[in-house]
Amino acid sequence: MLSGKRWLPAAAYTIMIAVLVGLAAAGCGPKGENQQAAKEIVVYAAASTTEVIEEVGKVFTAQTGVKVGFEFGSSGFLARKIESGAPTDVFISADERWIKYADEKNLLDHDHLILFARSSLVCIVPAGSQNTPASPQELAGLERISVGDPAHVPAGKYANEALSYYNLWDSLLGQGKIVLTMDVRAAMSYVEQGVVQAGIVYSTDASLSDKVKVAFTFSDESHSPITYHAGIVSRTANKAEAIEFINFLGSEKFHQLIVSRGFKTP
Amino acid sequence: MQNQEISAILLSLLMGVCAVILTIVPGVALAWLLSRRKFPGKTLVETVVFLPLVIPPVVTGYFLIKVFSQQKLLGSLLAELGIRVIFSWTGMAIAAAVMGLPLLVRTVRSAFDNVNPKLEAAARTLGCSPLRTFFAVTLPLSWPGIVAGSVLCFARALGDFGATAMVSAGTEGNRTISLEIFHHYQSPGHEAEVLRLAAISLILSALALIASEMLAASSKTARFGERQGG
Repeated sequence: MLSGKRWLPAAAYTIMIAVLVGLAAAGCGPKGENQQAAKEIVVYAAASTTEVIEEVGKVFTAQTGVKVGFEFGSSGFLARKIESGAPTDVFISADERWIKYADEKNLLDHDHLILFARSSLVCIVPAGSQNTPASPQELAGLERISVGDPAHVPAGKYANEALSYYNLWDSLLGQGKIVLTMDVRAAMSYVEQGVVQAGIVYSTDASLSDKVKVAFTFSDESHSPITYHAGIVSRTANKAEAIEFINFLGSEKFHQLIVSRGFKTP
Repeated sequence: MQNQEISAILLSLLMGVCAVILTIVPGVALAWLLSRRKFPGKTLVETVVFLPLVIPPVVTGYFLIKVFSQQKLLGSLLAELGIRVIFSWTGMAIAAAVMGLPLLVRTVRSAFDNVNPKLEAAARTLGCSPLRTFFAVTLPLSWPGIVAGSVLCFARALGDFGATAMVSAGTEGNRTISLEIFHHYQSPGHEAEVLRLAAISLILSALALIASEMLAASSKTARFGERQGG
């Protein structure tokens, strides 16, 4: 069967498959050795907390020597990843909904849940915009408004509540004016790029970019309270370090930090 | 199955059809040019046409957003005509077409390559104009390849994620199967929807691939008249 030069393709395929299997085997399996060398905790946090939590991470590492790895994204998506077994130690949600979801699924340690900050919801427009709505009702005059996907982005859920409060959600959605994004920072990015005329994000996000300006703030009564919660993932291998991290989020030093960034203390 | 899942399936099918409609004429023309003609800049044309095949789809989507941005000339011109490209079905269809075009061109070019040029030459000696030769000789002989290319283009457009995601409004009615899967995947507790849509997507793509392969095989027999080997 394998006569003449016919063995060449067969050999090539065999070598290729062997290499692929070898790579896959090398990729699988526990990290083992690395974890003994330097302790590291992983924090899954809401996208809107990117800057403050990275700051906390730096301080935490300086004080304890424990390194901190981050993943930032929509709180709902992070909860889902934790549910699927993602290797993480701390979960920070911009919504009580996702902390509760994780807690009910026994993914979090009941004893170490903390509400550590509050915020407010604003409508932003591109910095150079000539068409700035002064109130929610004036949003109807725009073409496209970016909002996080309410199904998993807390900012999107708050935006949905606020627009529904003013009886605007259904009509804006029906007219095709709503653009759903995968997290709140994507909603802001669209406004920065000018592909939408307005977006709904947190006041703390808006203050980070000079390419957007705040058009108006949604009144607190138009949406449920924007609360930031943190919890320890129950299957963490770094419980003590995670507890230290969470405790820092309740400290006076942290309160000063978040206030300086525009958040409100709990 | 919920309404949003059904609308995602229908939208995907619509995008597939739109991609074929938008690419068939320019695609066949390009394939013929690349197959039958040498010209300066041919390599550049080939590269540009096949680029969406290899660059990350999100990059293609990003370029589309920049090209059709309402702050730029093309976008504002279209806006005057009432055509919104970004965050509309129009934009999604264009993205789907751009992603499917290279596959169509490759397959149709291969089909044209398989048409014996001597047959075309014979037609010319019998008095056919180049245009008549194309429709009377080349096209019928390469027909299965053209259909195969269209089916591949359809399948690619159907399954696209990166480029479509950039220009989609993301709301119900604006999500293709891929986008719907991603939406449900990001939302905890929506496993069933993800599985259902993934299965449907697999089946649709497999059917398209099988159809395309069968047609491509029958286009090879056009050159030899009978199957070779045994």
